[in-house]
Order: sequence, then C-alpha cells, then structure tokens
Amino acid sequence: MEIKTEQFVEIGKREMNDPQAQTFLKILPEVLGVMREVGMASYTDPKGASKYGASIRREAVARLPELLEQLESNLVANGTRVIWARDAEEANKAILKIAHDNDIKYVTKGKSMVTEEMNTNDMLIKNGIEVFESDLGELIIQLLERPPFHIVGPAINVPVEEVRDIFLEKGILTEPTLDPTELGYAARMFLREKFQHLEMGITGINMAVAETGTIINVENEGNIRFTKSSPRIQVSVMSLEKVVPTMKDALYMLRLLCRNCTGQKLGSYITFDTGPKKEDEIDGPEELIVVIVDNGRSKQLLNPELREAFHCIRCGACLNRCPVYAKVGGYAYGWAYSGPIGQVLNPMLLGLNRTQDLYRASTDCGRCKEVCPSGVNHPRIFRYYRQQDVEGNKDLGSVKRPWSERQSFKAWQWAVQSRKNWDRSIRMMRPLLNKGISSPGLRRWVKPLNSWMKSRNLRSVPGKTFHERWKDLEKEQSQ
Amino acid sequence: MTMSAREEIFKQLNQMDPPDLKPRPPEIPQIDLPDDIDGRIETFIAELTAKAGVAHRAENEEAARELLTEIVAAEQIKTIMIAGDDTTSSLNLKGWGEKEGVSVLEAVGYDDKNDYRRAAFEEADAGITGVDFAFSESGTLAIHHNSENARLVSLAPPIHIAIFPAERLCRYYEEVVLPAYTEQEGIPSQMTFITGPSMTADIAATPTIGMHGPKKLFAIIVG
Ligand code: SF4
Repeated sequence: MEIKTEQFVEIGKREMNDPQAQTFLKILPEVLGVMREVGMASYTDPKGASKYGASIRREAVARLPELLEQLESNLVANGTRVIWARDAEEANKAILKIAHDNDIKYVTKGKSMVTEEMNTNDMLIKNGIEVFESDLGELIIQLLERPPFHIVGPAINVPVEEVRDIFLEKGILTEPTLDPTELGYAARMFLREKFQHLEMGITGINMAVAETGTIINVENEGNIRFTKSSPRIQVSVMSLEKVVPTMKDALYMLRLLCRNCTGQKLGSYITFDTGPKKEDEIDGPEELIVVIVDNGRSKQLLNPELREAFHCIRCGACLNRCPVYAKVGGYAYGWAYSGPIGQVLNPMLLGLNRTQDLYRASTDCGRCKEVCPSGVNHPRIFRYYRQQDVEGNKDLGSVKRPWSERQSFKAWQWAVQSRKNWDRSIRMMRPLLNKGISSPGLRRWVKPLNSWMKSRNLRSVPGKTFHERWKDLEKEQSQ
Repeated sequence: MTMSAREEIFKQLNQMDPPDLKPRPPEIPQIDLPDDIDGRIETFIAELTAKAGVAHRAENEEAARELLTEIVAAEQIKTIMIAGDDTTSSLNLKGWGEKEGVSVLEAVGYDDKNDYRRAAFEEADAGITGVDFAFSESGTLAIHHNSENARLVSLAPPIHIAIFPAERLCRYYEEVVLPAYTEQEGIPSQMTFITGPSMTADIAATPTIGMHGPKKLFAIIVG
C-alpha cells in the first residue's frame, strides 16, 4: 500500500466533494455508534466494564517484556514456532521463506491490520506467490487496489455497482447482479475452492494469551477459521503489543472488543489456537508459526507519553464517534490505520514529519477517548505530537517547524512576557494592521495571515488603545 | 556477531521502566443472568435466535432424532458429515441415517486429508457435531477440537447442526474455559466459539447471513 499520509488535506477535500462518500458518511458512523451503544448496554455497568478493560491493557503494556517472554515460552512448549522480526521487511522475508521452503503456490489471508502495515501482500505477489484476501471487504479492496476505508469494514463505502463490475472483471461473478447477498455468494464460491486445497494460510491475531500460549481470532465470516483449519501450515502475525496476561483477561477483552466493534455480544466465530494440531487430528495445521513484529514499536514504548497507544485493541469505536472522520472518511489518513487511532498510530510509526496534518486535524472534542474500551486518550497524544513537532523530536521523526513560524512565535513570546513590550508592540502593530487590511500588498507580506484574511474583512482599528485614551482623558481632566 | 532480532527487541524493551502497576479497579459483575436450568435455556435460545441461529429443545435423544429428521426434510439434506464425539455417537446417527435414507459420512473415518476435505467441502450438505459447552450469556457453542471433533465438520458444509445435553449449558465463559485452560494437557489444539451462522455486512453495510462458513446453524438442546 502506498503511503499517502502527506496528502491528508487533498484527499480529505476530494472525499468531501464526493456526494456518494458524503451520503454514506452521514449514515454509517451514526449507525455503528448506535449498535455499539446497544451492545454496551447489556453490561450491568458499561462504564465500569470499559474502565476494567483499560486496566487490563495498561497492565499488559506495562509488563510487556515479561509477558512476551512468558508467551514465547508457552508457545514453544505447545509446539508453535516463534519468529521475531525487527521490522516489516524482516517479517515479510520470514513469511516468504516459509512459503518457498514448502513449495507454496498461493495463500489465503484472514483480515489483519499488521500485514496491511507491513505490505505483506505486495511482497508475496512480487515473489510469485498468489495472495487471496478472504474477508469479503478485504477481497474487494484488494481487487480495487484501495486502502481500507474503515478498520472494521474496509470496503463498506464501495458502491454495489463497483463491486459488481470488479467481480465481473475478475471472473468471480458471471451474471451481473446488484444484490449484496448474491455478490457475497459469488465470493464464497470463488474462495471455497481455494480453501479446500489450501496448503498455507496467513492470519493476524486479536489477542495472544501469555499464560497459556494461546492465540485468538475474532470474525463473522468463517474465512479465518478456514484459513486456520484447512491448510498444512498456519502463519499468524502479531504486533508485539497484542499480548494479554491471562485467559481470564482475554475473555474479558473479547466481550469488550465485540461490543465495541459491531455491537455484538460475540462475533460469529472466535478461535483459540494452542499449538498445531495433535497427531491424531485429521485437520488443523501441522505447523503453526507465530510471527511477532516490532516495526518501530519497542523504541516508542520507552516513551511513557506514548504507551497508551499500545493499549488499542482495534475495535474501531473511536472512528465512528469522530467528527473529522465523519467528514473525510478513511482514505484521507493515507495508511493502514484511520480515524483517531490512525492519528495516533500513523505519526508514531511513520514519523511526525510525514503525518503533519494527521495530529492537527482534531477538534479536541474528546469523543474518541470517551468511547475507547482500552483507555487511549487520543487528544492528549495529538497535543503531545504537536508539542514534540515544535521541539523537533528526532526520535519521533520531526524536522521542526518552518523557520518563519518559529520566528513569529519567538516574537510573540517576547511581546507577551512584559507589559512594556506588549504596549510597545501594540503601538507598532496598530497602524500596520490597518494598512494590512486595506493594502493587498501588505497582506501578502504577512503570509501566514494571508489565507485567514482572505475571507475576513477586519474593521480598521483606532490609532490609540483604550488605555492610551484613558490616560489622555485623565490628563485632560487634571488640567 | 550481529544481534538476533529477538535479542535486539528485548534489549529495547528491557529499558522500559519497571512496571508501576496501579491496582486494577474492582472487577464488577459483568452481566446478570438467571441461573436455573430453564432460565439458562431460555436465555440461550433468545440470544442465539437474535444472532440468526435456530435453537430447539428436545426432551430426550429420541426427540432429538425426530427433530433431526424434520430439519433434514425441511432443508433437503441428502448427505451429512458427523463428528465422532460422545454426543453424536450416543445418538447412533448411523442407524438413524439408514432409516431416514440420509447418507452419513464420518469425519473419523478418513485417513487421507484430501479425501476428507473433498467430502467436507463437496459432499456434505450438513455437518452434525456435539459441543463441549454452551453459554447462555451470548447463545454461544464451544467446541474443543480433537481427533473426535474435527474442525471442518462445523465449518465447511452449508448447514451446521449442533446437539448437546442441557447440563453442558453454562452461563458465563469463565465457568468452564478457565478450568480447562489451567492444565496444559487439557488444552485443545483449537477451541471454537460459535455464535450464529457465518455473516457479513461488508457490501454496502447490508447484513447478509451466510458468508464463508455455514449459512444456517441449528442447536438442539437435549433434556
Ligand atoms: S483506540 Fe480505543 S476506540 Fe479506537 S480502535 Fe483502539 S481500542 Fe478501539
């Protein structure tokens, strides 16, 4: 996937002018938000449940080194092979090697955000291995070569007509139809044959239980179950923060995840894998390989300000509540993660400089943090990014703000620090400001203000301030 | 020597400050549910129905077989694949199949995986399994997969029929999952929670029942 985080404004504008996208955005987040509310209402104490969930995630991240070691040793004890990867390239190479060593021609994939982040599909395809995304939404965006529009429903905005056309073009559909059920059925039949003869499947991981060495996937369609049950080799990829301490914690988080994600009490299928199949079992993978990917995370984990970002369980609830997402949709965020959590993760993983508009496109309303079941305080992190960007934090990939901006803030700082400076600058500014209003030449010279002034007509300010006039008045009276 | 990825990742992670663990807030009771058997069954049926599943209660095994006969007729099922777990064997489904004219494939009867996969994907109109547990909390069935309860039986055929005795119906997941996962030997290679047939809403957010997995799910509670 091409990274387009620098084009936030451009893509956002395009989407805001696209009537189809707008009709959709008016309804979708609202509906998903209501579904979530209904799901959460089944708790005796919804707020308390979220709070407890956040405490599980906080603990998991705080104890990460210890939990990862425990996870690894239990995975290995269960007969799972563990591969550690510093970055996307290393992880992709390892996956490719497994495929090559086993003479694999094609793989099916379960929906997985981390392999989107790693661009795994492109790498496998480039090296001669066919990749079939098997989640219906993922399949559609793979065929259309689009980024995901929503963390949960990656193709949910794509008009039915477009799905029909691409399915016809790729031979998945023979008779044109606009019925979503029939289109889904065509995808079912297309992938069914792939599942039947599958030799290697790739999935993500929703949670990994340190205590037992169990990996967990949540889904509705059954494609992940096929991807794990049918082939000889199962490769499951996780970013390293996906670990939870105990099975009890995992069950707690599963309730929260499903309710926040789709408003369901549980998704249709949840699978818990502990090791490969046993010898006397007819199906299930002979080889289970878990790839644990860092990809820039361990460095950022050292920064306590950012630790909350690792709490996220990718439920998508924050997207549905965000007024910015509801206008620009998922493409503007330019990468795997969109909405408020995209504004947190993309800058952290790609660098502040490449994601300038992401952490600034916020109304600071805080609706995202209100719903988050993992205790992520998104607006606080946006403000932190802005501050770090001004200070030029190299670890976060900032190259500092432009010289002119820094100079004007220095001037501002000087002006507001003493009464005398303030009065003096005000006196200086007033005639200048008045000229600026009337002369476009001057306006252009004060460039940062130019676009602001374009749509505003300031009334000219009087030559003297209130204080000056007061003093004059006093003088007059005493005379 | 260059460091391995593992070493390098842990070298970073170990620089994290030692965990300053605030105690967790008190764990609150999550969901209130009736505990008597009728209450459990009622809740289970309501929850599974809300997730587009179909649940029946049968007085005894005989009644369960009769229900099966009805389902098979209504759905025009000609071939079924059965898991060889304790519930399906105690029901003597082979004998029932002969009587009803339904051909019965046994998952445990295959040595070759490709033959087995062909049967599960291409031949079976329905898969019948027992379950290890069921949960009234969400209308969920839990299967521990092993040599007697293979994975594809409840997945590849277009219809899944699950039959289980009422005493396996619990309220909360924790009641049985936690004990099962405390001893390493007791942990199955895979456990599956099934809550309804497969579904999707990926095209135009239109809810559609029946995606890759079964299009229909029947649960028969015996007792
Ligand atoms: S940040 Fe919170 S609300 Fe947003 S996807 Fe992650 S867990 Fe869900």
